[in-house]
Amino acid sequence: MLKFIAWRFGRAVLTVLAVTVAVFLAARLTGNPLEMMYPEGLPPDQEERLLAEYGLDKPIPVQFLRYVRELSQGNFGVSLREKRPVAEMFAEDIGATLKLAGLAFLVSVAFGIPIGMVGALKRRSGTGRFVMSIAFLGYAVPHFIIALSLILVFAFYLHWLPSTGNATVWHYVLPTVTLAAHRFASIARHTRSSLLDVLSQDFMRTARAKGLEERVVIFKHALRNSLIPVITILGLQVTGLINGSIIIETVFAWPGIGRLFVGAVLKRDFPVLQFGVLCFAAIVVLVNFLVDIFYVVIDPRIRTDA
Amino acid sequence: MKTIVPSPEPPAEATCTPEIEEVALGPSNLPPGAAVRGGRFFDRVKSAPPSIHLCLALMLLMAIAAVAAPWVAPFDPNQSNVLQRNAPPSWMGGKSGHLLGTDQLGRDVLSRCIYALRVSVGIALLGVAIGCMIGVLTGVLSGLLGGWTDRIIMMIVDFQLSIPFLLIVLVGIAVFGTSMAVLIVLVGTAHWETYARLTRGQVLTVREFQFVEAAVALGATTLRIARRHILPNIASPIIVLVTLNFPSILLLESSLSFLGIGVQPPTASLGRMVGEGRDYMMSAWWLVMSPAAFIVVVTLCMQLIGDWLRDVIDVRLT
Repeated sequence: MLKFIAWRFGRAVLTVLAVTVAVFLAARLTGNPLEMMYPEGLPPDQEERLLAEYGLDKPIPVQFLRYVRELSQGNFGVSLREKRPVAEMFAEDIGATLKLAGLAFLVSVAFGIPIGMVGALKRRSGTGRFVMSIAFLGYAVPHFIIALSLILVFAFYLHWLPSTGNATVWHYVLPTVTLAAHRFASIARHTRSSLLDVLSQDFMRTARAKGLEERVVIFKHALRNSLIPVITILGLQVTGLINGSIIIETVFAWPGIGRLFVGAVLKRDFPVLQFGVLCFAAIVVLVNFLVDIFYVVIDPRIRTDA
Repeated sequence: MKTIVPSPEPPAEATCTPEIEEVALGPSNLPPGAAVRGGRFFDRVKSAPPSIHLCLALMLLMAIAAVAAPWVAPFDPNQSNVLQRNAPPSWMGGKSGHLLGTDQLGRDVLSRCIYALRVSVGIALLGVAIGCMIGVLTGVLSGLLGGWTDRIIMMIVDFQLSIPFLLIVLVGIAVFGTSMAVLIVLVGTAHWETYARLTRGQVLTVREFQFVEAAVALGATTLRIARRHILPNIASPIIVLVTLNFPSILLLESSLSFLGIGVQPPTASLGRMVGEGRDYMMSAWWLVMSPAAFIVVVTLCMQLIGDWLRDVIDVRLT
């Protein structure tokens, strides 16, 4: 077990390291960062001094070591556009993203698992088909179209809800619904197929044969077993939440790190991009590491000799 | 109850004995592709539910519209008319004679949608082709050669799986700029690892069959075995994957273009049209909803067809 955890942890660290290298190299591929900071060009003597000052005259491996050393000292770089430390910019905005993503995650779990159950238990009736069609729509329609449709109906036509910003509680409704729609659909689909798998197992027949109440059979025998694979899916939702928040924050003018990131792409602000990718990658890797561990803890049948 | 390992590991000893339990594809006593062959496939199409027939018909319609855009489009998509800006669709009582209305420059929305559909579908097709080629190639290499090749390829696959791909695409665009070629390559590489994993699994199963063993005994080279014996047998699961992959690549391109970092003007893609129409949503909602409807119809239909094909061919995609 310990060996398994150590192995997973090693891989997680390795992935984050690989991301750091990849992002560093990508940023250097664009050529001289000075050209991006001063697109109108610099006199040669000033350029040389600045190159030396930023350490850009050194060979790439030396620059990389320097970059890693700065990272380890908590110096994540300064935005080319705003001239502010990128860590500060992310720290300001990450709260809004976490609130939105966390809320959307809770909503999607709260709706996804029961609806997936209905889909499995009533699979032959109209109800089951109906709820799974809704889930299918949530799955196949892209975020920005759901977002714009909701804005059109609830903000522009009915005037019930605000469409941009995050000033009040009401501002949370539309972005949360949009972000949760995809996640909910994916959770519902996986819960359904996993529950169907369990329902066809022999121990279900045994449980019914010994005269257990249907409620006990479903909730104790079927549901608990079927939720094991769903937990992995919950871990994967983090990737989806990040993808989604990048687009949704732009649509709803939500002041989070997703919007910050898209802005940095448009302005080619590389220090912000580097830090953003590092942040997102670290979050994803950490969550998946925790899910892997948790998974083994709740299901001892998983082999840990990997 | 399946025992699910948290994430697929490359086999520890990937020498000449593959681990068959890693892949659960198709009926066990047949090569995976053998389930659907020739005429039987068309029988299956005939016995498909009506919803699939509808989807197939809609996709055929879309394909014809995209290919024959200059003949199908009722107006020149770039012909502006300042006297008819943001005219409502004719079915809503608009008097301009434009079926889906006009945009902020008075251009016909339907014609623009048809041309944009052409661009979006073209990018998605090229992207699918790129991803499929890279993935199948690496998957075959990984499955046939095993050893370090396998381990390295699977490591890259794991790496890609552990990072939200939108991030890689966004950084790629920031680095290489927003040209059409860059966009196609980036969306193309978005899902190559799915093909690689599927192909690798399939190769590991197929190469256990006796006809492959016989080919080896007859002295066939690895390349010949891959081309003549392995590829034809893993074709149908790959076709399923292509069908399911197409809508997700189309969505990726639409999302990027919507954000303004995909297809660049003057070229219009469906996502770009939605993005541009956003500013006029309050007064002219059809600028947003017409291209959005095209996107939804294409992706929904392809997704449904893909799901149906997957059930028919009985492929388990992870």
